[in-house]
Amino acid sequence: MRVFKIVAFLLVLSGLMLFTATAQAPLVRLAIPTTERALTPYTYNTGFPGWYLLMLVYDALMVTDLDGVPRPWLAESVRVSPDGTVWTLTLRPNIRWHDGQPFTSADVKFSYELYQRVTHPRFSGPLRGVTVETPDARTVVLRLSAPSPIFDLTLADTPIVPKHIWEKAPDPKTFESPVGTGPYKLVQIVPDQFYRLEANADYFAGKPAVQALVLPIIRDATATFTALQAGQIDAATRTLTPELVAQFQGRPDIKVLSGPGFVSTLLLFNNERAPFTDPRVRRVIAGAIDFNELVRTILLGLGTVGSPGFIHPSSPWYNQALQSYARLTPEQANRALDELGYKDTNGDGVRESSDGKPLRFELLTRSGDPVRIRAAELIAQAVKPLGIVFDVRALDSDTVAQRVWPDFDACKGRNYDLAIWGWSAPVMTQANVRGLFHSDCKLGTLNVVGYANKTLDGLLDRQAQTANREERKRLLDEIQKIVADDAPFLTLFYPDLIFAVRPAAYDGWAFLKGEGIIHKLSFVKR
Amino acid sequence: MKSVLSIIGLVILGALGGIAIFTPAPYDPHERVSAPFQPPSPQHWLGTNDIGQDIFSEVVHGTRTSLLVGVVAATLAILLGVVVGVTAGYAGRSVDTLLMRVVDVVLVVPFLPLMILLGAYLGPSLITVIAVIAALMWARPARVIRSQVLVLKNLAYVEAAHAIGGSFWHLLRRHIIPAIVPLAMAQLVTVASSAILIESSLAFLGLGDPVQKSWGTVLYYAQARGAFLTGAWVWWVLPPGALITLSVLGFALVGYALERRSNPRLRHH
Repeated sequence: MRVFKIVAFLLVLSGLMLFTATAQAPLVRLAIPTTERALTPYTYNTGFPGWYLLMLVYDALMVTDLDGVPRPWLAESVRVSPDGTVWTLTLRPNIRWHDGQPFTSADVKFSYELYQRVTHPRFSGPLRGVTVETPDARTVVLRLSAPSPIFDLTLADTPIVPKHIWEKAPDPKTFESPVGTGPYKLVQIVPDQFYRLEANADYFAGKPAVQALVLPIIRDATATFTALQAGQIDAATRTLTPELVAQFQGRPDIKVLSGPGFVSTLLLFNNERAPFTDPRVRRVIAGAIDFNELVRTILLGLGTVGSPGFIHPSSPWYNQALQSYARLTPEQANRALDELGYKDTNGDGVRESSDGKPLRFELLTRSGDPVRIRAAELIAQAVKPLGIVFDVRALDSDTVAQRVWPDFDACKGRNYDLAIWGWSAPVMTQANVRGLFHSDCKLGTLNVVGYANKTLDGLLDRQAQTANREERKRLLDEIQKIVADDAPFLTLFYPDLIFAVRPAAYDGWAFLKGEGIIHKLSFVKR
Repeated sequence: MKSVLSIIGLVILGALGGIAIFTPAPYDPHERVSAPFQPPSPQHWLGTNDIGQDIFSEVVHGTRTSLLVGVVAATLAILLGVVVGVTAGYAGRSVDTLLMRVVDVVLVVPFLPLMILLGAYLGPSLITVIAVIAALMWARPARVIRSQVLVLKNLAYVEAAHAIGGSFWHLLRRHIIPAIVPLAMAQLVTVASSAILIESSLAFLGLGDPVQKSWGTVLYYAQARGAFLTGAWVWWVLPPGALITLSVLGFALVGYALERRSNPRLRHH
């Protein structure tokens, strides 16, 4: 018995020594909420975490560092012509695909032209009008039809697939091949149960930090965090909700990692429907809402108060000089509404416009999202003392989307008074202000409020074609100021991204600003 | 024994009805009265919810919603069931066949998926929920009442009344309605308890109106805001859960007693 104990101790000790020697975690179990099908560029399902997991198997020419700034990756150098239309990249030497074939510029040309030929919802748009030349096996020349300030983000976003495999694919949209250049090889998929990834020992950009990465699919949030507490998983892509933070922080075996999130929560005004056509009305409503209290109550303080210019204060594009909306006391707000001609003429406690219509509106929000329902309720309470009624209507998310953004096409108009809405992180990362605010719905693809300001349109067009970073920053500052004055919608808050992990299994997590800990650099030794 | 059970049932329903009518809540359930996520305290007996509303007041006001849905939906369902049942049973022949096939269809409709679909399609509101429940719950009472009418129609005194020229309305008023009222009452009670359960389930799944205070919506927020992970379930989940159970139990006990007295099949056993 004693001998057994000593042997066991030695075994454990040698295991620990091996562990510290290679410093590679043997196994990390990371729960994901839904299937990502075959995890290829055309079959993954979700933007988060799907794309980030895809990029463990595949690489792009660049990668965003922890501040969100693109750096060369498959490429070792990236040069831009002075007019911003010609991008010349030199590829790193001696990179091999998971099947041992060499990676060359032909793979880049093939991949980019594949996305141009076979439409992909994410990768095709930014590559429109781009031509690819390959003077030699290590050089790629990309010619853009117009200069773009965010083309480096495209280079960091677009996965490169192996030509020798994908050129034989009968239909890329359903083709299943696990071969990439990435730090992990996809070795097993059990549909609807788990994915198993293993370290690519020959990875060109450092050693993968984990030997085996298992991704079990756990659909339910409560089940996910129960599994984490019980030690059945080591981390989850699902973010922790604010009310759970205190409990998880109190446990010695669990570490809570958090930072700013670039997902936004907004109050949309339909700018084409009276009285929200008038920026003065929109500003009065903004002045009645206590944004700090929203963050304190709904997010328990774990979030950032919305900037009136939409851009997150942690973004490099944020305008530091921006003032928050002027807070109005109930008296000031009531006086402002009186002066604008909205009076309660029939004494029912609700103001009427000059044509006798009561200021009573429907505030849409999606029913599955308690944080947004609560935000809607708090806003309705805030405007009630002003004699304005917001009737909160919680509808299922497809119905809300269809009324706010029919078929995801801003040109199809809109059918709502007010809505709680949100944009995902890429809108913030790219500072896609032209999409958000341009009055031409073909350019303002995300302008779901129907906002129009001709002066602003000119600035939006200019920044979209300015490759120079400083110049673009100056234009974005000006744009944010105009938007803050016009208040076409109100940015309420950006919830923090909070993750819980078991550091005993793996502790190499790195927080990518605005996007969280699930990304390539968290799984590669830097 | 049986009467003791039905008295217990009546007491439960009476107490819940009292809560629903007088709503002895210390706070306005829509008002934020404290910090969010507070555990129970002398000020807030069941603590506060995710935006600082008093959970005890929410549960008290939820009683009103839940009982309202139960009683109104059940009444509508029974009225429809009585009309269809009496028509089918009295008219007979092709009318009977047609109506009973409709009943068959409604009976075999998979209940919860349809509720989810209709709830999503029509949008969540109390009226939708009541209408949908009523539209799906009338079939069983219709069937039971039809069979009772078939029996009545062939009773000697009813046939006699018919033979001496009694009109349909006369027979209905004097013989049929009095005979089916107890049966309908028993069915009403059964349907009401199902309706309360269904309303709570829909609200819990987020398919009800999340702005309305009901037992189901209290449970919805408890689940959505981590009550099962933090231990808050003791004061956030158990009380509305217990009230749902109590109300169903109350209705079941009363319904059981009523059915014993009114259902001809059960009366002699």
